[in-house]
Amino acid sequence: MIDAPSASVSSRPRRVGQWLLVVRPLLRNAKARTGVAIFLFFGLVALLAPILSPYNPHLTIFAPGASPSAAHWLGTTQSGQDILSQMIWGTRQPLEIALGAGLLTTLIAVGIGISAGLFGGVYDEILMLITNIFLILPGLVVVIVISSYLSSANNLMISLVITVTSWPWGARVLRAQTLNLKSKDFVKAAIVAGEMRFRLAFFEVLPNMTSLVASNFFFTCLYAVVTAASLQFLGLGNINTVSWGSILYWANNSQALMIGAWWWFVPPGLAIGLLGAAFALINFGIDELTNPRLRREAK
Amino acid sequence: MQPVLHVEGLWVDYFTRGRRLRVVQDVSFAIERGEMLGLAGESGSGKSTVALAVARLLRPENAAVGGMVRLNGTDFLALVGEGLRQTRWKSVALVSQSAMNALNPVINIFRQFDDMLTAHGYTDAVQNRHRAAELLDLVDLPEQVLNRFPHQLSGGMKQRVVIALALALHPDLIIMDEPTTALDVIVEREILSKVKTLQRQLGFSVLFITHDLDLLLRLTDRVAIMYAGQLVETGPVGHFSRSLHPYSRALVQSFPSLHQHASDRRRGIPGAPPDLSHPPAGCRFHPRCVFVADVCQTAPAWEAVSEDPLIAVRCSRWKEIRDEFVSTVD
Amino acid sequence: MSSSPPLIELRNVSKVFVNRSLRQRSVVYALREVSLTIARGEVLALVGESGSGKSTTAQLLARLTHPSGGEIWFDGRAINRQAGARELRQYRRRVQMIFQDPFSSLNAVHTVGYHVGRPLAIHRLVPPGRALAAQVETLLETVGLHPGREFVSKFPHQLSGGQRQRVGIARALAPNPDVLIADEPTSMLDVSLRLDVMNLLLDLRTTRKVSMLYITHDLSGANYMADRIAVMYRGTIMEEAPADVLMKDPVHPYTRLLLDASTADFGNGPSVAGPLGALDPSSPGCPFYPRCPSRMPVCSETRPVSAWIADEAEHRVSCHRYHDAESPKTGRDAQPKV
Repeated sequence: MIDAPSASVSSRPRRVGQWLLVVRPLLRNAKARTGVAIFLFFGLVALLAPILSPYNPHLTIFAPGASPSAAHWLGTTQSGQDILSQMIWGTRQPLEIALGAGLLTTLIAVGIGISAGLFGGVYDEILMLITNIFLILPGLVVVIVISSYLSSANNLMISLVITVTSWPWGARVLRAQTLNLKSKDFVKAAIVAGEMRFRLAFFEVLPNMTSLVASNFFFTCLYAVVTAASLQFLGLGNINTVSWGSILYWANNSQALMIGAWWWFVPPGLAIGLLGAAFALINFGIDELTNPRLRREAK
Repeated sequence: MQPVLHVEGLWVDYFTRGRRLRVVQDVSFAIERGEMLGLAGESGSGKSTVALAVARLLRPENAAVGGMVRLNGTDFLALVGEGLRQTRWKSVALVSQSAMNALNPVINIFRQFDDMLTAHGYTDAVQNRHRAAELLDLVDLPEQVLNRFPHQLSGGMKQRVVIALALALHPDLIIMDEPTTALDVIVEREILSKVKTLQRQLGFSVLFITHDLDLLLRLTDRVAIMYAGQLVETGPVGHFSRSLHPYSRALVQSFPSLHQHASDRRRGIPGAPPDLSHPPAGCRFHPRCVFVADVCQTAPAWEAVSEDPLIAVRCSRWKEIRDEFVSTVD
Repeated sequence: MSSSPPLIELRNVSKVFVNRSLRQRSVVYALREVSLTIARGEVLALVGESGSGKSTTAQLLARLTHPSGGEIWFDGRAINRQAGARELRQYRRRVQMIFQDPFSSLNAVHTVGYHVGRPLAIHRLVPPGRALAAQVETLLETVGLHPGREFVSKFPHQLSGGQRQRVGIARALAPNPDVLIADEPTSMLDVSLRLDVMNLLLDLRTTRKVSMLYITHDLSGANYMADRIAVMYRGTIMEEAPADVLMKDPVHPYTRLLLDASTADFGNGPSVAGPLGALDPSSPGCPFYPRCPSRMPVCSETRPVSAWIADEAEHRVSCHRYHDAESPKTGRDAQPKV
């Protein structure tokens, strides 16, 4: 019993659903708001690429190596492609890979983390052994090795490859949180009420970890954006698709830096950084919301 | 004689989420030398805030404090800086429920005493060791405890150490905020009996704060009861068998007595304490009160019923309640 | 003993926790050969301080954990650890629990209606839909949340502590259980609300004829609630008797100290218990020995056994002072002198 000023019970916003519960306070946080805005911007660009893009990104009909001009805002490549169009179409692949890898990783992490924590015993030990083995694999190296075997990797393949190395982190964190929640009375009460394991996991435990799950998702997105770009920069994956990573690959291949064609490598680099920052900012926002100490300082 | 602690019209506002919330209002009481005053109230009644305000432990960015707090006649609320620091520890010590868990876990018990004494100008380690052993002896702990670390002590022993620390600078007033709530009843009894003995021996005053009115009525000389940030009644312990405020009456009633079985059914207090951001108009207890009448729509004053012994009550109908008592008893 | 067979019986139940660290393996007894019975419609209070094992007893009965030794019988059958899902579900319908902390025992993401409705749905007691909603409202009103309809869609954070605890009670009542395990149901509530919750439980006992294990650290509360009281200390039942007998005529030094500590004034006379001392968990003696004001040499050497007191119905004690005597008759006079 703490003798604190009784915080008003009724004045807090009524929870309409799990969704609003997470999203509304998140949008009140400046960092998260910035992150969401950047993310939505890129999302819109990716969706509206056919409308926004001034030219076909594959066309090689323009004057090669031209600096930015009214006709080509971001100039052209050494082989005469419009970089702005490439940038616009190139938004799709990193977004798809990020969201794909984020979703897959989160699904696996949630499934393994919660079930290991909740059911315990031998089941837990086996799952954690597997998790730990994956955890010590050097991430980027594994991704590179697998990717080099997949010559014509599509976005789903790349997402899968990234997932292989990123799920154990989330699984461990979610397992720890499950163990913590499992000792709470409301879980015991649900057991006494006769709830089965499935409902315990998804109706009692999971809804209390939404912020952790979301933060795991966005962290994976960040990791995926950077990893996918690195792969393509290294020439792995499919370099003939248009993406920020492949723009960078071709820029590098054509010594863009040496010839001073900054318009060729700066925009994709900036875009990758911005999208990564967007995911990071959303993550910081979630952190501040769930960690009261950070929240107070954030004021 | 001048009281050790004299509080008059004390109020405290907390700043939470950009709002200003009055959590303590118009609290007045005094504690004489060697006296133990019990302050009872439910959670959220503001009783711990009173303790923190009186000990000047509220941070200005979190709370505003007003009214008068006099310690041995000195205006304690006006002190700042070094003057406040010196007076605070030499005149007032606080023993709280959390204090026993606030002992520094990485230094032994002697260092806890030594650090504290050093901070107040006693720098001779040998003398400090001697002094620490003496203090431990006061609370019936052997000298060897000085070499132990907090985690090696039981809850009861830790709380004894905290009390010994509180006694180190011979304070005139010790504020005890739920000091034994986490301990079991037998240990609680041992420790509080010890406090009573020490009080007789050393002559300090105690402000004892708890939700356990039943305990207060057995422990203290005088009791004050708080409800929703205000004092509602004060008087000597004996007064509370015929208390005049409906809340304190109900509170006394709401502890089943030891020899009472359910066949003799007692009732609790209906409803719940109010939300302090919207306290009820008029008397703050009226929505839960069985004696409620039209007059309760206006806020009752803090009214002295008798001067010696001091009995005061905040209820517009106390006279009627007293008369009813007289008629039912006779 | 009562004439009808007990609804619940613990037979020499022990619960051991093993602390494994790199260097050593230590064993902690949470319960040591505890035997208890609860008859149909009876309220048994289990009184003890924190760490006495009373909550472990509750968890065992709620089948949230398994005993390390001994047997738990329910309605004439021993509980089987390897019970099938059906048997376990049947047990969960009949034995329900009320938790101590009304703040952590409700899931913040679920409504009041969800909490109370789930047991009804799980045990298929009411068809889903309108009938279930109506039953939830009735249950809420049974526990004093009027009108039930207004509470159904509320979330825990919108309720006060007392209201939350009532939701917890409604949830426990939902499957119409035969046994309620109440683990300190009022200790986290405000003083002014405690009595009403206790009264509510007593009403339910009368109207629904439930048996109850009422766990508390407070003797007066136990006396108010219970027909019989068992006093527990460090995993052992020290004394057990009908409530009025235990309050009037306690035998065990620990019970006497407890009673004294909850009634007498402070500061009169010497400190009540013996010198402070920690009990060596491997000590073969009586668990209360280090603090006992009337200990004898034998108390540190062997554990006293629990035995019934002759000439007294349902009163048993576990103390050498007492069993030391030649015959039960004179044993009555051989009470410890405190």
